[in-house]
Amino acid sequence: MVLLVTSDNEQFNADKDVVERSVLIKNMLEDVGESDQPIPLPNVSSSVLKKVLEYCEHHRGEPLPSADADQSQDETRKRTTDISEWDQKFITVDQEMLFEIILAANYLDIKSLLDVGCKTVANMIKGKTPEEIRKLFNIVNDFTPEEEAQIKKENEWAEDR
Amino acid sequence: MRSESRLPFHELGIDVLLNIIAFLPSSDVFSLRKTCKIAHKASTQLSIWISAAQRMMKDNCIPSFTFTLESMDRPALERLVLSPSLFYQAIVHSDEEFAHPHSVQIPGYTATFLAPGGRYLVTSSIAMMSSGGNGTLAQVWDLGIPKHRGSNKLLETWVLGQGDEFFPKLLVPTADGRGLSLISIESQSTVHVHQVFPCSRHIPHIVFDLGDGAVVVSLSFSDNRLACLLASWRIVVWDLKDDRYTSWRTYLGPEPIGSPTSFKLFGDAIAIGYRGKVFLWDFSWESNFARDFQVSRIMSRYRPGAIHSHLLFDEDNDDFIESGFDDTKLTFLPNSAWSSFHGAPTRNFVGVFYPPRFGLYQLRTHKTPGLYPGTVTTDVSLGHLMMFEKLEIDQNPGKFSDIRPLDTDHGIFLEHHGESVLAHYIIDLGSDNYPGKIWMDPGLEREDYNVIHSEICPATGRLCLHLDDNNLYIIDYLPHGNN
Repeated sequence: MVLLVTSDNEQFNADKDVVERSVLIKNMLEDVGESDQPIPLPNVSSSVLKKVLEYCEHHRGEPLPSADADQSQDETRKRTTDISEWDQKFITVDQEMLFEIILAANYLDIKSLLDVGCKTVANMIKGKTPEEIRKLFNIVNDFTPEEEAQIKKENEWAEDR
Repeated sequence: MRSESRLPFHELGIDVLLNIIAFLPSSDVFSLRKTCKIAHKASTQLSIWISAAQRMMKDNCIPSFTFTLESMDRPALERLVLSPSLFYQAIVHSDEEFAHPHSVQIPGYTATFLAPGGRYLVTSSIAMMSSGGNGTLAQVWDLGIPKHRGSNKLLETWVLGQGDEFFPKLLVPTADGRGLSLISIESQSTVHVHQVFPCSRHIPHIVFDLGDGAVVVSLSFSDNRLACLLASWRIVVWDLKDDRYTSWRTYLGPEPIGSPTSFKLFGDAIAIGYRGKVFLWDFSWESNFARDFQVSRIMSRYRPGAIHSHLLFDEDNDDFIESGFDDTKLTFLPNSAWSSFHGAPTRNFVGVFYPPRFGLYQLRTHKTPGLYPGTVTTDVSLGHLMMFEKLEIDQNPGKFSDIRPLDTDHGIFLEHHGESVLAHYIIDLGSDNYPGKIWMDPGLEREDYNVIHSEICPATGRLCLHLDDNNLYIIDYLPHGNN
């Protein structure tokens, strides 16, 4: 068992083969060797880590993508935004939790979970206008009027696709 | 419904945004970039557009040497990536004023082959040889990158063979994907594969001699494999990359009459159109030495083909034949250049033309391993039939010269020759239960075009027309950009 400590000081015990779906934790465990020392995760809150561990538990034993994965495999991965049924249900959370899971997956280096989160956001963006995307994600338009006019002009050719 | 986030979108950071963008269609990336500064920054990274251009080229079988992506700036890459969608829009919104061909002077050619991407053109011609008698020449031309109109440049000229009995038939990628090979038939019985690009003093050349009495009826190429149908109803398939071959005698009934109307290689399956039906075979490799192939080694065993469909008709096919079905009029359409049976879903179709009817079938195979030698098993299904009886061609059936997939959102592109008319159709495949929608491009429907042959790259919007005035005309459908 491995002891993890979250940013809000909660402790989680989890099986080694579950937490090792995180490349970050796997590397840390390899670095410290056999030890009962808790692993601090200062960028992950307890509510988010609970979700992340639920994901890792469900996908326990599945092959991990290798670091030197074939580029074409990576390209194929990026062609589809299909999400499996279980993952779809798992990721049906509020927007804040969705972003938190994505950030945690990125920090913990859990590629498959990061992809599930990013695919979900991509699916939410598809087919929407810039204004609809802003509204959906509460994005503040931080362009100056001049910048906005310039961007509009630069991308005019790609309109009406 | 997801609630509004207290965690701002920009907190996701550039790395995560790049990962999100990797899952977005390119058109949506343009919408995202207009929302805020960080999204704009992420969407203008060169790396995402290089990856997107590589995917687009792979999807459309465009050889990697057509565009030097590393030396292109972002706006040029963006235009390239969006070309398929822009071409779709150009056809859908075109009017009489749209098409503006410019002619390219290429004298005396007898056949033309446009490589996907529209940049490289291979022509063949007959010329008097210095040694006396005629020979067949091949010439490779660089027409320039579509949207950047430039003069055509002759890259190289070769003598393919001596005499008049040498007929170039297909332009295909070399086995390593870095060049182009021209496949020709000499005196009906010998197949030649010449690597004609990139240019080199010595042209790599493979010869498959099928022996005296053999008559090659049809060739088909897919995935580095070349299939050949002989008049004796024998099939030979060579794998040009792995140097191996297989062959067999077909069985289509007790006494097959005449020739098949169509012959098509789909990765590791062969389809033959015969008397209104599709027959399918799968195959395994018989020998590892393709270059040692001898016609005498063709297996004596017959392999029956899986009869698979009553093409285009709901009635019992035999009844239909009795009521005047003309087998010679039924043809498979050429499909996309170099496409694979195992490619994207929209690539698995076969277009079937029986004037004035057109049907689009999507082939689905479920193979059972270990059935060699055998046919594709009977659970193979032909599905997704779409029939368009009103393509406005009833009065002028002509022929369909080509059918190409557009990007997956926009179905397929169909080209039709009438007697003095060239028409383009966009067919939106819709969904399985949606019969689709057709647009016709009237821009080229001109009576002054007597088209002998035409080829198009819908990914880059370049059309190459061979008219009866012996000039070659190029039409770039997409507007010329500054980049």
